[in-house]
Amino acid sequence: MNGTRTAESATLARPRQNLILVLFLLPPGLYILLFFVLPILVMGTYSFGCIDSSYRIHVTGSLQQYLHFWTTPVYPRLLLKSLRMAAEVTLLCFLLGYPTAFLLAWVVRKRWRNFLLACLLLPSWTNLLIRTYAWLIVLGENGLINYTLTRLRIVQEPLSLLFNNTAVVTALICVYLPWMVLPIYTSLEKIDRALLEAASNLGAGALQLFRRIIFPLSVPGVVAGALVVFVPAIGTYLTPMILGGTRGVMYANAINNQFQILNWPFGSAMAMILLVIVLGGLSIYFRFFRIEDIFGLSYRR
Amino acid sequence: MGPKARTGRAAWRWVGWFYLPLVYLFVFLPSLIVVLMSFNTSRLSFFPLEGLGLGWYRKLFANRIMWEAARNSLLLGLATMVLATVLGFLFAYLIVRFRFPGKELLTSLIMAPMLTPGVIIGVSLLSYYYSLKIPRGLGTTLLAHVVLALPYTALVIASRMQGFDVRLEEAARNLGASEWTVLRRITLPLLWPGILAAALFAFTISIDEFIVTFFVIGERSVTLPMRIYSGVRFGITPEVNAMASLMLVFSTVLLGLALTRQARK
Repeated sequence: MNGTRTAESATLARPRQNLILVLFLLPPGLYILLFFVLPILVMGTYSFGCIDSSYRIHVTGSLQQYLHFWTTPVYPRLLLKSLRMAAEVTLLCFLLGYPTAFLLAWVVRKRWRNFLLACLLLPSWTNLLIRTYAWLIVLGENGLINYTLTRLRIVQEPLSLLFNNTAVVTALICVYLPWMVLPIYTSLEKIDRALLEAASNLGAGALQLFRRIIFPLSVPGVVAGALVVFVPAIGTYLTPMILGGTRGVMYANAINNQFQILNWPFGSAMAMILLVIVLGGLSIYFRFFRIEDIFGLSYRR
Repeated sequence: MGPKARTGRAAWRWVGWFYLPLVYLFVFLPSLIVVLMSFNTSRLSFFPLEGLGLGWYRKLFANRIMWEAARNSLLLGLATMVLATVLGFLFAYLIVRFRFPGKELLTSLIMAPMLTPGVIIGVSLLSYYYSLKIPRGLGTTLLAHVVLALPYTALVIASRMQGFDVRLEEAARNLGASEWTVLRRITLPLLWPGILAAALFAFTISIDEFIVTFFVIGERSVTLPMRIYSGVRFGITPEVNAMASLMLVFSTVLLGLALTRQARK
């Protein structure tokens, strides 16, 4: 970090740097303004409007969509359900992923580490949609699990494993587990082994080593992992649609439904509410954890 | 390490032998099933398998619509890769080397798409294109994919940049090299592994993207995920499994190449 600081001041002293600054700043800055910030503002304006009988949008500045959202019990309940499911997925990913990262970073022999880590990420390169459909083949009535169970005569009738929340959560964990493991692995791998030797020589037991040194130092990784799992899990659309059945509808599906029936103002309001919740949550999150610790360093070699 | 630590390590290794295969099996299960089903001769993806054969691969190669979708996805992936990597590089250079007013705000804006649910980005872009009366198609999809990939490319390149010695650049400047020469001869070559990794990231993000594409692509064009999505609504055909298996082989080879390159260093 110190090296970077001095480099900043050294380069800033040169006058031509200002020209470079502008040249480098404009393209990405403008891009994000035009294709991320403005679209959200436009959608925000729509959310303060309503549609007439021919589905034309009128921006009136009224809060009626938001009132409608909070006064119709089904929508807040859906929001809560999605938040709860995302939290469930994140927690389970953590519980499964921490030991995985720990074993990879500390127990597996060094020459296998990179290979195993790369393997873990390999399925992420198969199309998400196809991986989700594959769960239909695994969990279906004539699927892998039911076939095995009935063949082994553990059950007589096929179990109904599909079209419920468990199926959705299982598929989501399968997708997001690698994204939890990766940052935890990185933070575990960075821990200085000398620290452990020292603590061990001073008489610390294995449990104490873990509780007092290893876990605290891996918290940035856990935080990053939780973030990259929780945020997409809230907005998950495909998995509930394919594996969740009628009762499995989640918030993102409901947003899509509003856009499909051409009620854009209400769909926009729903999207804005989710956005505010996510941004609000993030700003609290980042009050406790610095963004550089989470991202800047977690990908560093 | 003392003898006690060593026995502890051996015990952990046993735990690893037991636990890691289970985790890997779980993570790989859907992909394995897809590959298996692509060889199944039956039209229905059920157990037990009817028989094994290459019929679905033959069908896939004859499927014109599937190939058009694959071509579109590939083009989008490559275009996203180039645009997002260039923009990501410019931004990474800025945040690592400069201090300027509004840096924090701009950084969080560029990183924001990574932490915004895809459905929000999708519907906001849909509203935006609609309000500006921009017809939807591959172009509008490209613009959206770059937004999604930019945080990752910027991050990967920036972290690579933080790791390298700026004195090399200073030395070149002091020896009379112009900014352009420094960039071309020192900065870019040193950043190359980071740039490659970023490009790979951008490509995979684009090629796998569904939800944002779903909102911004319109009716006339189709990408591979969109094609698969509309195909499976009428029941998944094993052709799709064959396509997915080919994609998996493709990425495995790519990853294998990257790993052996790294190992050689």
